[in-house]
Amino acid sequence: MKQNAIIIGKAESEKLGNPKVGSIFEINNTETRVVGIADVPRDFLSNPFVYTTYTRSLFYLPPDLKTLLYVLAAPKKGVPVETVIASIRKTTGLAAYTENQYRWHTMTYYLENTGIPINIGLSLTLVFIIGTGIAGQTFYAFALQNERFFGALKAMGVSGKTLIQMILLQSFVVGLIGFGVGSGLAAIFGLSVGPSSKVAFDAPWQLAALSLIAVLGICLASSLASIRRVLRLEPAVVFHG
Amino acid sequence: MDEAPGGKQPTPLPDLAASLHDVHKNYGEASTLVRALDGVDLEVRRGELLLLVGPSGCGKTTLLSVLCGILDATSGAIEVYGTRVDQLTQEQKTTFRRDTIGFIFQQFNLLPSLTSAENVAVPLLIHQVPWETAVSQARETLAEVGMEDRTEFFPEKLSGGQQQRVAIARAMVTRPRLIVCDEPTAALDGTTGHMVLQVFREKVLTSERAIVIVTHDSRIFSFGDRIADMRDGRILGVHSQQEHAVIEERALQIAGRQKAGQP
Ligand SMILES: Nc1ncnc2c1ncn2[C@@H]1O[C@H](COP(=O)(O)OP(=O)(O)OP(=O)(O)O)[C@@H](O)[C@H]1O
Ligand SMILES: [Mg+2]
Repeated sequence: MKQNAIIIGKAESEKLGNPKVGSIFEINNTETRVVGIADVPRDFLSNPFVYTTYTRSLFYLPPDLKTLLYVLAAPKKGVPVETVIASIRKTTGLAAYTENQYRWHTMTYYLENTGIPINIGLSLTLVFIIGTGIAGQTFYAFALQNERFFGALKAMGVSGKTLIQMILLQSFVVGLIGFGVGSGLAAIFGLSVGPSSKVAFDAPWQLAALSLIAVLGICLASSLASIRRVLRLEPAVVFHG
Repeated sequence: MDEAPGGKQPTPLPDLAASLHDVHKNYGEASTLVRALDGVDLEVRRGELLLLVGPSGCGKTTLLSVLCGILDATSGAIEVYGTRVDQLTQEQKTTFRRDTIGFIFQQFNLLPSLTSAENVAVPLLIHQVPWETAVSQARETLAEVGMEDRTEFFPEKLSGGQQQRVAIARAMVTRPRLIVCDEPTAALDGTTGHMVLQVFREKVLTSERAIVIVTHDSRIFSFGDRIADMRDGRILGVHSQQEHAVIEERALQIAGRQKAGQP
């Protein structure tokens, strides 16, 4: 293999001008040739990645160790990771982590030192509040619309308990239909953008569970308002509609 | 309480269908206090169609609501066929309404997703009557009000007068002893209103039942056996239809003379 060989990440290859195997371009004024394309998941920040050996990388980099972020090492067979970590720390004085520790270390870095979590968190909170507002408003309007029918039923001798069950059932059915449509659309979106697109789409089941809980919560809250009104049974609502 | 509506007759019915004695109903408190009912005395006889008339805001809807136990009176005695409605618990009031009272509403309030027959069956279903029985009984009642050819129609496919006839069938399907209606003709044109009142007189009114109708509509005054005049939370008087016509005439004359500047 040539000295200047690199492998590029597929997901970000567009940013490098879609090179193919055999393409040649420059990194830090050094000519380099693509010898492979790695099918790796998209990175959070979408910076292009290139992969090569440590020795080859030294051709491209200024002889300054600060640009070295980490060295990936695997313990020899039979040697526990903890032992290796301890010995690296002792002999080099550098930090050493297991894969999982390093993952959390990175995440904590982003959480504590960048505005990313706040920005994303803010957008999420806003989206949630607006969503709750719209959904709640819709449910409430829906309940108001049906109020005179509930009022009529109550007047005709339907018990409060039965009315509550009816309102909750109605609201949950509407909510679940909405949830189904919503998650269906999200899934279609996720499938259509595909794994190698520009969007880092990831929808773990926990997300669906959380939004289901949120939807049911919104349903419950908005039905409470109409339950209260129906149970109070305003004569004007009953008789005049 | 008896499960099968229509089949109960343990004791002879009292002659009075309903009575209100010194009934007060206040809304709000202190500066927002409204005396909607301010000492109402009224008797409704079995077998009569009583019209309750009066200007807007005089307390008609409030009176009906208190009479049916939809609203609790502030004070006073309310009796319907011997039951002291004001002394019932909320739960008992619900059962009382279910067993004793038929409701007819201004906006009909038919459930839009049910056919005429299913709508009329609703009160029977509330009485736990099985679906098939309820719907076939509902069809019979619809035939009584001349709606036998519309039993499978949805409310939106019916005219206002037809919807109100379905609502009348719904109110009478459990054979209630008291039927109350608030402005049953307000959403209808004059001819249709006439036709609906005719149905009330000919099909709904029996000697075992009383009907109380709240109305603004002077065109239907002639259908009442008696007319109760209400002003500012009180009943000014209850008159036969003829007496009422004379009083109205006199009031018009007085108003006319005042307008013309005569004493
Ligand atoms: N929930 C309420 N809170 C406060 N005041 C009320 C309430 N309901 C009715 N009122 C007042 O009580 C009075 C009687 O109202 P009610 O609805 O019984 O009149 P009405 O004779 O039925 O009038 P209309 O012919 O316009 O239907 C009115 O002054 C009204 O403003
Ligand atoms: Mg009214």
